[in-house]
Amino acid sequence: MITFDKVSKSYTNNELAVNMVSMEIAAGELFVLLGTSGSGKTTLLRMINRLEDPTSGVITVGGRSVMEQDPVALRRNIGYSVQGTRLFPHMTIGANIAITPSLLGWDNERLVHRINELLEMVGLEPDQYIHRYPSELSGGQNQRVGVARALAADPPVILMDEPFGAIDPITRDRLQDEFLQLQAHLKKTVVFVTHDVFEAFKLGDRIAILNEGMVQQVDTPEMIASVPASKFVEDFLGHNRILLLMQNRQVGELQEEYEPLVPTAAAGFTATIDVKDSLATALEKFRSANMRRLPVISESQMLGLLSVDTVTNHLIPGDCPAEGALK
Amino acid sequence: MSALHTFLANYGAVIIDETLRHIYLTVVAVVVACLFAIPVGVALAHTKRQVVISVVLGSAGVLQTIPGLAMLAIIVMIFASMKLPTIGVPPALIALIFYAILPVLRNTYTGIKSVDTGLVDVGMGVGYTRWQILTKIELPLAMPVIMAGIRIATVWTIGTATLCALIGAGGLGDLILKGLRSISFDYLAAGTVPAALLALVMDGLLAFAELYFTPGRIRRRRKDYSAGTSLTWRGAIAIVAVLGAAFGLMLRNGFLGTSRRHYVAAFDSEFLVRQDGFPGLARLYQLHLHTRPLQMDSGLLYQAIKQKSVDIIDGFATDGRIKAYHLVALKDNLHFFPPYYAAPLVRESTLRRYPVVKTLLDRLSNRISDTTMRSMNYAVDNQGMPAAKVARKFLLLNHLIPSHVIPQRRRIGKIVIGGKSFTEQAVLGQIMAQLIADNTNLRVVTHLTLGGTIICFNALKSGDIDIYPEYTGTGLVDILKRKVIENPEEVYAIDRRVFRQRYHLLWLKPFGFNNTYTITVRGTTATKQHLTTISDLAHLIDEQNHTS
Ligand SMILES: Nc1ncnc2c1ncn2[C@@H]1O[C@H](COP(=O)(O)OP(=O)(O)OP(=O)(O)O)[C@@H](O)[C@H]1O
Ligand SMILES: [Mg+2]
Repeated sequence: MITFDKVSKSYTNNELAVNMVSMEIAAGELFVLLGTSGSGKTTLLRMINRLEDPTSGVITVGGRSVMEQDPVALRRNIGYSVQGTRLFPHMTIGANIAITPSLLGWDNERLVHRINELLEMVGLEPDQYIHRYPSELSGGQNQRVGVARALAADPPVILMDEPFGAIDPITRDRLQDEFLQLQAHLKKTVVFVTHDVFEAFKLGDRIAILNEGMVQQVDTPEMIASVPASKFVEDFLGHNRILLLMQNRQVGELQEEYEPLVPTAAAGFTATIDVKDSLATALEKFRSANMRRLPVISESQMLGLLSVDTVTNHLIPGDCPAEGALK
Repeated sequence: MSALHTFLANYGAVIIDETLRHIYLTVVAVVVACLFAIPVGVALAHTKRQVVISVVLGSAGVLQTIPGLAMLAIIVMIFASMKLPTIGVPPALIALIFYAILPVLRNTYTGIKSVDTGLVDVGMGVGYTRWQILTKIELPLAMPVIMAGIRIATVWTIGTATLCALIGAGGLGDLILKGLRSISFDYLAAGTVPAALLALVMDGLLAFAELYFTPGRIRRRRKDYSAGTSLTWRGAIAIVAVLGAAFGLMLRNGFLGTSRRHYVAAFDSEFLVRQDGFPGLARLYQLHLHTRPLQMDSGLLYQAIKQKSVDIIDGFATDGRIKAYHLVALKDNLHFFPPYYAAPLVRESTLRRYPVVKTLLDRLSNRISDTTMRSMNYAVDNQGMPAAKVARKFLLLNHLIPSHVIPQRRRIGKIVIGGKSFTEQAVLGQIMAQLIADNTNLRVVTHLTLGGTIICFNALKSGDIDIYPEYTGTGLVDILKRKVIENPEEVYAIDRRVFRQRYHLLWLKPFGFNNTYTITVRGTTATKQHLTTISDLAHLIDEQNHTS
């Protein structure tokens, strides 16, 4: 859907904000750009809808180079939620959301319907908020409207630059969950910028890690956590890495090491572990049940017993089993 | 209460008329200035070339520092050199437009510049075109700042427009000038109060317009989210409506140049208010002008009639330009005007302190004939000679001052010589000043551009000046408010007696010439229409009124 081929970008100075980036983003994929501040995430994103033009290299969207496409038409087909979510202060919430679809010529009835639908989707009561101005909403509510505005015209591609940046952890977690659910059935091609490692790992189908304009690694969250491609990625994940590993691996992956279940012993367990639970959740259950062994279930069927040691063995890199066992 | 009532009865119609003119001048000037300044301001805000920005804003700033009076003068000169009409609405409008540009230009520039660049960026992100970004984001967000500029421009223009009365463009300045010339509080109030109110009302209206044009200022429950009427359309419609209304108003009131079937008259502000001026003249001769006479500075009258912007003016018998411009002074067949023999009017106390002044000024008695005075006026008005030089030539020719160079001497005492602000008074003032300075040790100071009769007379009474040249008829009718008398000796005798008793002022011996007011038309008009007397003119005007 979107490809980068040796894309570089320098602003007025000679330093490269983006340096020889080549990668492909598949249709329907939630693709995360992760990196520290100033690593070039926003620049990379803005080159997709031609808010910036690359200094060299080629970017294609839908198979055609963006440089050959009319920028205005291109932008109307790509949803964009800008970093810091700036809504137009002189337009109501409804009008802000309606911009792109109205530019595409939707009639009023369809627009009103869409505004209501989107406000509900991002958890804002339409009747209460549609006629308000952005200054009458909290920062987090503004961000949600920003997301709604990006989704408004139902574009195939959506660019989101730190859309949940200014929201408290609890609301952010909820919004992330809702966004995942949404994405599960909308199947948009989403390019999502964040500097939050946990957000990246939670949302991303794949993650690109950027440093000083260069792509360090493009891979699934699990692979990045278990096999960092460079010293930089390792350092970047730092002490979060073990947590990320635990959160991104499921109990089901350890299936071969379950201990056989003794049916009579089942009654003694005070908790069970689901195959879909992450290793982190499993460890938490061992701790709160104060047991070293717990049964694993899948759709109320017992599969076997899992021991704490099996889990910890997997998390210590030295004891990492062969590649094949991981997947 | 009854005072207000009579005031309104006397001035109500004039106030309304001049206020409408004033609104017209202001609205057209500001709208035209906006039509120029807003696009330029927008372009400036988008250019990256700092040089262009500095040059444009800088030159607009310089334009603003030129004093209003000077701006008017410069425009009149430029128009004259381009053979365009130098009086009336067009030059006045140009000057006002220049004035209104800067505040609008600067505020448009800063307004657009101060729009958050992030929002412009988002505008591009949501798929607006450059034009839509301008009309839907930049202009609406900059609107309060731009409107502030327009409000400043409007209030300034209302103030500056009062100056336009000097060149016959009318407006409330007409009334203010009349008030100044006649020290009439009524006229002053009739001009000043409406001007101040006008500024307040216009400012208020614009404040309301700002509210209306700035999206988000008035809470609107938006029902239609499709493109809808944009700000630019609403703005364009409003501007067209305002301009249309202004022009309609003007057409109805005949401000846009009267049809040339009717004669247009222009007089200086003093003539328009004097007892022996237009009001009395119109009554006696039954002069029913189709439109109220224009008012303009006396220096511009001749220019105006020569250019055929007007057809009738008031002139002075001794004015050299009557001949030079092929004008004809109509005969005062009903003897409306009294004789106007010029003579020095002096404070008695001054003569007591410096008796030599009387001896010297008496030497001028009967030395200046009509012809002499006319040629001296002509030298100043048409040949561009300074009044001081013309005066010196006259004094030398008549052996009234020593011809050799006078060595610097220590001067004691002080004589202040005044004069009204027109050529003849400047020449007479200079003659008296140099006569005294070169024959005595007195220090002589001149104030030869005082506003008019009443201002000179009051300055003399209060002792701010010691002498000024006055005309016997003016003394009799305008100052003493007596009836017109034809016999020159009789007029002079009354003036002498009453001024001495009442004001302790002395009329010295007349210079010799009679500078009467004349009603003046173009020579070609006079020949074609067989005009020789003012009565002829009155009949012709009546005919014109009947045929229309
Ligand atoms: N308009 C610009 N002009 C010049 N330099 C710029 C411009 N925008 C970004 N840069 C530079 O390019 C580099 C990458 O910036 P970019 O905004 O892409 O970073 P980022 O990864 O989005 O950072 P953050 O997480 O802080 O938003 C930075 O060094 C920045 O200073
Ligand atoms: Mg960024």
